[in-house]
Formats: sequence, C-alpha cells, structure tokens
Amino acid sequence: MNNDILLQVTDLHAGIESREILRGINLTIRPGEVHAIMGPNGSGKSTLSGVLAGDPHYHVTSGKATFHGLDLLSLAPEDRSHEGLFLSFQYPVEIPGVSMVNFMRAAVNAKRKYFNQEPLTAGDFLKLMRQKRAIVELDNKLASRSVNEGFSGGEKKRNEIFQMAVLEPRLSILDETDSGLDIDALRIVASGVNKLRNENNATIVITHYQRLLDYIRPDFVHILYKGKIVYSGGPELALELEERGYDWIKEQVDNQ
Amino acid sequence: MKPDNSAKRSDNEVIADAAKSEYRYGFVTDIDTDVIERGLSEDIIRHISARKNEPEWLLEFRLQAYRYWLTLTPPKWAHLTIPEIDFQAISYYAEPRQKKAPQSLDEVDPQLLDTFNRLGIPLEEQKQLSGMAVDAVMDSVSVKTTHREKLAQMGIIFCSISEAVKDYPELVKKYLGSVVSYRDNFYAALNSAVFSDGSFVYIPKGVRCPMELSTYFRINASGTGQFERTLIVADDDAYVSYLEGCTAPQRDENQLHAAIVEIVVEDRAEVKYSTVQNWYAGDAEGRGGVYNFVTKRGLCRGDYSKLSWTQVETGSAITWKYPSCVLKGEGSTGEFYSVAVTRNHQQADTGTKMIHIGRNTRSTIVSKGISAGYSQNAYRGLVKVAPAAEGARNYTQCDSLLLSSTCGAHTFPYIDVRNSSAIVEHEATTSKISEDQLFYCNQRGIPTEEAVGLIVNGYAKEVMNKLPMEFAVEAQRLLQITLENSVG
Amino acid sequence: MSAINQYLELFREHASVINAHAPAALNMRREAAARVLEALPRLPKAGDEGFECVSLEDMFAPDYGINITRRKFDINPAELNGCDLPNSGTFAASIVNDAFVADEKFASRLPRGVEVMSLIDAAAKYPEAIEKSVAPDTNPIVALNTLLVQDGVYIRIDRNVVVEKPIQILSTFNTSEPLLAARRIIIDMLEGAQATVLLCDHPRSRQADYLSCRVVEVRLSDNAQLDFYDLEESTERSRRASVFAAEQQPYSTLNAVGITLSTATTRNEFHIAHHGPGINTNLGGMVIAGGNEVVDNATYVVHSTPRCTSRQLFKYAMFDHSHGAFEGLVTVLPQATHTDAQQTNRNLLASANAKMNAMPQLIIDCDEVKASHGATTGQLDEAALFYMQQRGIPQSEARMMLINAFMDEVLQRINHEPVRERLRHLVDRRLRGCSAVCSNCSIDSLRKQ
Repeated sequence: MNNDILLQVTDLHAGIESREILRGINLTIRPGEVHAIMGPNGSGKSTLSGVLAGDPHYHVTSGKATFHGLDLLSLAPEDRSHEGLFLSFQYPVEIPGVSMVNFMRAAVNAKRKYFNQEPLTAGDFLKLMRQKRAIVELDNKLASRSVNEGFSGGEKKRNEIFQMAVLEPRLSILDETDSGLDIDALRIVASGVNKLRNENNATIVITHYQRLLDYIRPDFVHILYKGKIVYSGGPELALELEERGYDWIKEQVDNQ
Repeated sequence: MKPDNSAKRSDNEVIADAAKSEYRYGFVTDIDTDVIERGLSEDIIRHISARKNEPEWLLEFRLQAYRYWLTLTPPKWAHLTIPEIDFQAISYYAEPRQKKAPQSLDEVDPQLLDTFNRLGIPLEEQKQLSGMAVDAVMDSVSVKTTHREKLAQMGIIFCSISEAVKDYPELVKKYLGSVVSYRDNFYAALNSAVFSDGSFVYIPKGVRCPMELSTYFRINASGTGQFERTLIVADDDAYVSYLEGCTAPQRDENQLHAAIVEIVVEDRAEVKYSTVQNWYAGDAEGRGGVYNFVTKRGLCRGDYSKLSWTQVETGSAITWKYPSCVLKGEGSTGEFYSVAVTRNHQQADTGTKMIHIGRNTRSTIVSKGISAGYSQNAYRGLVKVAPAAEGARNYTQCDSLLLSSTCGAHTFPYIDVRNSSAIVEHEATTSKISEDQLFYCNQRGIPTEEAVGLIVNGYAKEVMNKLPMEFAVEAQRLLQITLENSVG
Repeated sequence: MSAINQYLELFREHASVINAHAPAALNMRREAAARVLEALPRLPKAGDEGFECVSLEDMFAPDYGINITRRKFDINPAELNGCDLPNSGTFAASIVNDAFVADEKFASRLPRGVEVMSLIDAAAKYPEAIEKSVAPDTNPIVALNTLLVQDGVYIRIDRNVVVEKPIQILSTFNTSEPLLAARRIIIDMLEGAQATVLLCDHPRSRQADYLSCRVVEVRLSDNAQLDFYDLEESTERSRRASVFAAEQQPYSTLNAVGITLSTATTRNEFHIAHHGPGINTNLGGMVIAGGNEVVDNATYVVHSTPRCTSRQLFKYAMFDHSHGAFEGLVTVLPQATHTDAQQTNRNLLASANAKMNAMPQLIIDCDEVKASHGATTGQLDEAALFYMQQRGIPQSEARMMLINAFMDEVLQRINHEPVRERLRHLVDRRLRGCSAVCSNCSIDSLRKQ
C-alpha cells in the first residue's frame, strides 16, 4: 500500500563533480522499519546519505526519491529537515562562535515556523532541551559551548542523537555513527536511538561493521557495492558479512 | 655576570660563530679570459650581438630593451640598502678563451674541467650521477652541455641559449620575452639588453624528461657581471625537473648578477625548478659579494599545468628575487618553497608572486628565513586573485628564525582578492631558535653547535624535501657549511 | 591640482579668523602643519604604499564648507543624551560638527577626578595637555586636522580613579550644507586611572555630504587602562579620515576596538607608541560593508621597549561591491626584547563583486621575540552551512548566524558587558540589513522629525 511507504528511492544516480558514484539505487522504507546499509569503503554509502539530505557537494543525475508523498530531491535541505529527514553526520561539523543553545533554538523555531506554529517561549525551549538531553546523557556543559567545538568523538555523536531527539524526525539516517566510538559511548548512542524508535518513524543505519547492529537490530540489511544495492536480506546477512568479509560479495558481483 | 647566564652566553657565541665559516668556492680559475671593455652603450650591445653572431631580430630586441632601460631607475621599494651601482664600470661580456667551440670533452680546456671538478660538477658524463645532464656556464658562455645526444633522441632540446638562437630560432623567437617582458623592471630591461648565455630547454608533447637537467653558473672573471637567460618550455603533458647552481670567486669588489628565467608550461605539463644559490656573499665585514638581482617567472598557460619553484638561498651580498607563477590555465598549480639563509652583512629580499587568473587555480607558498649576524632577511610576496579566478586557493606559510640579536627578519605579504569564491590564507611567525629545544638536545648529550644544526635543518626540512634527491644532499651540506662552526 | 591646496589657501587667507575662534594651544601648531602639507605633492591615493583602497586625495577634493567662524547651531543638548546603554547608562556628551555640546548638569554628574570638557575650556585649564601632541605630525590626516581644528573634547581621568560607567561621546553633523569637521579628542589617563570611552559616530542627516577629519590622542600613564570603543554608523553621504594615536607608559593597557557598520568611505589609522616595559596593546576592528562602501584600517604598532605585548584582530565581512583593506605593520626594534606581538586579519567575501586587500607586515630587528601574523580571505564554511540546513535552519538564517559568530571574536574583546551586548545587537541588526542606528538613541528620533 503506497500510503505506507515512507521513503521510495527509484533508480537513483548521483555523483560528485563529473564522477558517478551512485549507479541506480532502489530502496523502499516503511514506517517502523530499521534498514542497515553496509558495504566496503568507497561503495557510495556516505554519498547516498548526502544525496538524500541534499548536500550540495553531490548532484543527482537521474532517478527519484519520494518521501511520504513529496518529491524529496526538489526540496531545499532545510525543508527536507522540516519534513522529517534527519542525518546524523559521520563527521559532525564544528561551528565556532555559534552556541549549541542558539543553534538548537534556531532549528526548532525554523521548523515551527514551517508548520505555522509560534516560536517556543524561552522557558519551554529550555525545558525541551533538558528533557532530550537526558536521553543521551549529554552533559549540560556541552550545551553552553559552540556547536561540536572541542567535543570528543563520543560527545559529538551523542550530540547528534540529542538533536535527533529534539527534532523528532520521521526518518533518521545514521551515517557511520559507530565510527570513532568506544564501547560505552556506542551503548549510550544506540540506546538513545532505540528509545526514539516507534511505529511511525524509520531508521537507516549506515555502517561498515556489524558491531553497531548488535545494539540497533535491523529488519533489513542491504549491501552497497559500486553504487548499487547488490544484496538484500535480513539481520543474518550482517552476521554473515562479519564472518566472511566483503570479498565474496565483490567476487560475485565482479564476475557477473 | 651571573653564573647561570654563562651557558646561555656560550650558546649565543656558538650561534654567532655560525656567521664565520669560510666560503669553499672562493677560488679563482687562472684562465685566459676575453673580457670586453667596461661600460654599456648601443655599440657595446652591437658588439656582444656580433660576437655571438646573432640574427638581426635579436639585436633589435636587445636595443629596444636597452633604450627602455635608459628611461628607468633602479627599484628602491625592497627592504634593502643597495649602494649606488655604476653600470658603466661593469664589463658586460667575458668569455673563457677557447680556440673554438669544443666538439668533445677532450677539447675543453683542462683548467675549466678542473674548475668544475672542484665545484663538484664533473663534466665527464661517465663521472656524473647518471640521472643528470649539465650545462656549465662560466662567465658569459656555456662551456659544455652533457648528455645532449641521449636527450635529443627523445626530442628534448637542452643546450645553451646561444646555440638555441642559431639552431631553433623559431622556438626562441616565439617564447623569448613572452613571460618576462623587457619592460618588466629595471634589471629585466638590463638583462634583455646584454644577456650573454644560459640554458634553453624544450620538452616536446607527452615527453617526461628522464633525467634532471642542470645548469651550473660560475662567475670567474673580475669586473664583470653575469646576465644569463634561461628559457624553459614544457609542451602539453611534458615533465621536466630543472636544477640551477651558482658560485663565484671571493673578491673584494661587488659583482652584479642580473638573470632572467622564463618558463612556459602548457596543458597538463609540469616543471620543477630548483635553485641552490651560493654566490659569494662577501666577507665577515660585508666587503665584496655578488648582487643577485634576478627576475624569474613562469607562465602556467595550459590547463592543469603545474610549476614548482624550490630555492635554497645561502649566497650573495644582496638578493632581490621573486620567482613567480602566473596561473592562467584552468586548474593550474603554482608552488614556491624557499629557504633563505643570511649571515654577516648579507641582505635578502625574496619571495614570490602568485597571480591567479584561471578558474580553480591553486598555489602554495612555504618560506623559511634564517637570519644570523648583522643580516637582513625579508619575505615579500604577492597573492593576487583576479575576478575570473573562480575557486582559487592559496596557502602561504612564512616562518623566520633569528639566530642573533643584531639581525632582522621581515615579512611583507600583499594579498589582493577580487573573487569571492577564493580562499587565501597567510600565516607567518618570527622567533628565535628555541632555548627549550636547545636545552632538550643538550640534556640528551647533543652539543649546542650540533643542536643548532639539527634544529635549523629540521626547520628547513619541509622545503629541502622538495628538492630532487641529488640536490637535497648538496643543499643540506650547504646549510651546514653556512652555519659551519655551530655544526661542527 | 592637489586637494591640499584649497585647505592651504583657506588657511593662508583666513588664519586670523581660524585662530580667533580657537585656543592658542591649537593655534601654535598650525604653521608647522601647513609646512608638512606644502611639502606633499598630493594626498595619498588608492594604490600608494599603505593605501590599498582609500584615496585621501579624492576624499578631501570636494569643496566642503568649513565653519571657521564657529557659527552656533541650535541643538538642545538634553536631546542628545538619550542614547543610553541599557542597564548601565553612560556619561554622555556630544560633538555637533566640531563643537563640544553637553547639558549644563553634565559636569556635575561626573564623579570626582573625571573631567570631560571642550578643548577650548581645556586649553584654559590644562594648557600643557593640549599643547603636547602624541599624534604623528607628518601624517597627512593629522596635518589637515591640526591646520583646521578649533575645538573637540578633552577627557581627563585623575590618578587612580576608576570609572565604571562608560563616557560616551556622540558625534554628529547638523547642517544642510556639505561640511568638513576637524575634530580632535584628547584623552589623558593619569597614573593608575581606568575608564571606558565609547565614541559613536552618527551623522544626523543625509541632506549633504560630510567629511569627518578626526584625530584621537590618548596618553596612558603608568598602570593606566583605557577601554576605547569606536562605533561608526553613518550614511552613504559620510566620509571619515581618522587617526587614533596612543602613547603608552610602563604597565599601561590599551584596549581599542573600532567598528564600522556603515559609511561611504572610511580610513582609520591606529598609531601606537610604547615608552617603557610591560605595556599591553590590544587592537580590534570589525568592518561590515555593503553597497559601494570602502573601508580601510591601517595599524602601526612600534615595539620599542622590552616585555610588551600587542594583539591585533581585524575582521571584515564584505558584501555587494564593497572594497576593504587592512594594512598592519608591526615593528620590533632591537631593544624591544621579549616582545610578544600577534596580528590577525580574517575576511569574508560574501559577494562576487566585493574586494579585499590585506597587507599584514612584520619588521623585526630583535631576536628575543614572539611575533606572528595571519591573514585569511575566504567564504563561510560550506560544511557548516549544510549542517545547519540539515537541522532545518534556513540558509539565509544560517549565513547570518555564521557571520555573527565570525564577528563575535571581535566583540569578545569588549570588556564592558552592557556595551558589548549593545554592540552585538547593533551588529546583528546591521547584518539583517536594518538601519542599525541605536533604536533608543535620541539622535535617531531627531532624524525622524
């Protein structure tokens, strides 16, 4: 049933400068689902998340992406955000001089404005921040600093999930959220993600390793290689990859 | 004096001694030299041109430059104190007398061979490092160019510019003065009027020159100036690495060296130009030494072309040179890596110009100044981004190291950005050699003199690494010699 | 013919009139200034050494009126006192054209040991303070000012007096004719004195072209500290040539921040001289320029004594067809051991037609130093922009936030919190394209009449 589809990607081709990286992606995501996208380095995983979020570095050459009925690719990045698409960055950007509080207030109120709502009062906003901070055990001190500036790797990733909690997206894309995390930080981040899961939202977990999937259990696993999804399966596929590596996939695809 | 100052004082003494090491290349070759009368006039220019059997167009080029030169005065904007130069007291042409142009090495005067041997530049091909071809220039003429035949097989032209004028007049005519016009500046005009010899290099399309090309310049005769002219053309997809070395005898008088180097880099071609400049710098009191007033410029005309200047400047009483890149081709790249050491009463005002004209052009400038004694060492650089240079990038890093309390280190960058998509960054620091580093070395048992050498070499390493291997060794030795008494 | 001549001619013909309306302490230096100007072939033009974008020759060329007979203008001084800083209040007085204006109770409100008066009054009370000048005599802006100046402001903070409330001087023009005003502001900080001085340059109307030829002289005695903030918020019909000259005695601290939010053409020079050890000099500058605005800051910091520190931070955000320049020269003389000098210039080119020239220079003749400078010219961080957009912040808003953040580093150098917050607000409004004139400043309300 079409109404049940949150994101429908059809034959998506995209690249950077003159180089084509995505060579025909097809993907269907329904509310409540968790999809893992795995693949060797350079297979196009980060390109896919960048293209869906509207990163201007990438350009789409052909194909379609429909996000709960909207033509996703025609929307400005901020409108994709308002419509409920959240990207947890592999490398969260440091923004010196912009405090976390101002940053989040601007984000929350821009979304409210988009839906013709009044800006939050200062008191309500602070209450919201306090509530959501608890989900990822984010230190209050971090909130008063500049965005991501001087944050450790773990703090940056927790900050991403904190923002996700505040913005309550319909689709979250976690781009290599496990990279650079120690086991404790990984557990906190994953538990944050799990707390935010419900039957109305969906998650794409982009990862190179199986490790994160021990904590965030996927319903579907897709293998991206040379810009295409070459294999899809259930959670058992991730385990198989963990055991056998990517070489058997590469061989199969390259020999075709 | 307090006791705890004694160690420090000895550090300072050691560093001060750095200024006193001897110049190794100060000998004079006793060779019969044909020197024309001193002075400069149209007659002298006609005389030089006639002696070199030059075609009419070249004489005309020289005369035009001379007439323009007459309207100019020497530039005064540099941070230099230049004594008045009597341009009529210089002889503009000196030629080691050989019976005729040598056809083989056997015909080269043994005295000349010996000279170059003593300079560490053997002209016998079998003695040379296999990866290098040499053009040896003494005073105003090229003595010998090695490995020519081997290069010729690949279509590479490597010869003296005098020969090129005779053998490849069309190429020379096309490119001579196309990058550095005689109208460029006072010394460029002078050079264009009186230039004697130098090297000519042409790398044809698609050819990677298999060996380093090298010119070795030597001023020998007294009372003369050297005005060499080098022209390098790398055609599409070509590659060449070119090295230049220079020395001069120890004399009480000042000698003038006013050279021009022009480089043209076509589509996707790459030229690496490396200089180890070790002209005689004058004695400890600042008597004598070469005035090194040089105009070097390359035009990255082709798309994705690349020109890289690397220089190690240790010699000359006064240095005034700014090897530059005009980045015209889309995506072309310019680089400038420089180590300039001044000591005693040496003065240097050196740097580069990066002129971004084409889209997505890139430039990198790394300049390391080291000043000792009573010397003055200035970096002067221009980074210009023209309105059309969409996406241009420049990064400049200028560091100055001071080894005495009586020297000066100065930084004069000019940054002119006229395109909003450009990113230009300039960083500069000036400091003396770190006492913490010296102490750390001392504590590990390294004597101060050795530590200074280590630290200075480490400081210059980023630039030294850019030199071709054979040259890097020589340059490192030169740095050590220059700071000899501190290195050991 | 050079623009200089009209001023020299005016001086030669009307010296007696000029002198008659000015104190002897100012008159005594005019001849020397005239000789300096006579020796110049012309005023500096854009492209001359140290003048990358502003041409003084062009700036001074128009035939401005000069009010040498000192005709009085009707201004109710009480109306000029409205530009209070929230939560703090200031001791506020004004310069209208070149005349010092304050209400009759102004002097009585000042704390003990704090004096703010017209130069004319100061010349009678402290003649030696006005006679001695710390401004560089051979500088063309200073020479032009000295040739013509008749009044201005004198601020004197007595020994060990610490003034918490800022002293605010609003300068404005009030004529319908083109006018050149030669303004001189002299600040004497005696030993151990501390004060904050805020200059607000708000020309009152757009009816005519104005040129402010301004010299600020600051003397900081031993251990004194001055926080000096200079806000220029004028119109596309206002030009300014300003020299700020400070002489610092041992262990004194100068914090000076200049902010240019709007102008037609502005040239600001900072000349800092040190007389003794342990001196701190902090210079900050911010330029936000659009339209065809041309703004130039030039700094000359001479380290001549041991163990002194200087910090410079100048930031520019250039929009539209604006042209900015920064020329900074740090000189460290041989005897200035243990100098610590830093100079930073960061520029944003926010439009395709904006231009920026940077010339940060170091001349160092001493080895016991730490000296560095850096200059960058570029754009907003695109990665940051996308990150903000991904979080739903519209691009225009994200840009604004990033430029505000970029400029915040300069605002951080303002120690006086209410002043800093006020200026932060004005910068934000300027970036949002509003007329950023202080909303509760009565000068603004005068304009609306």
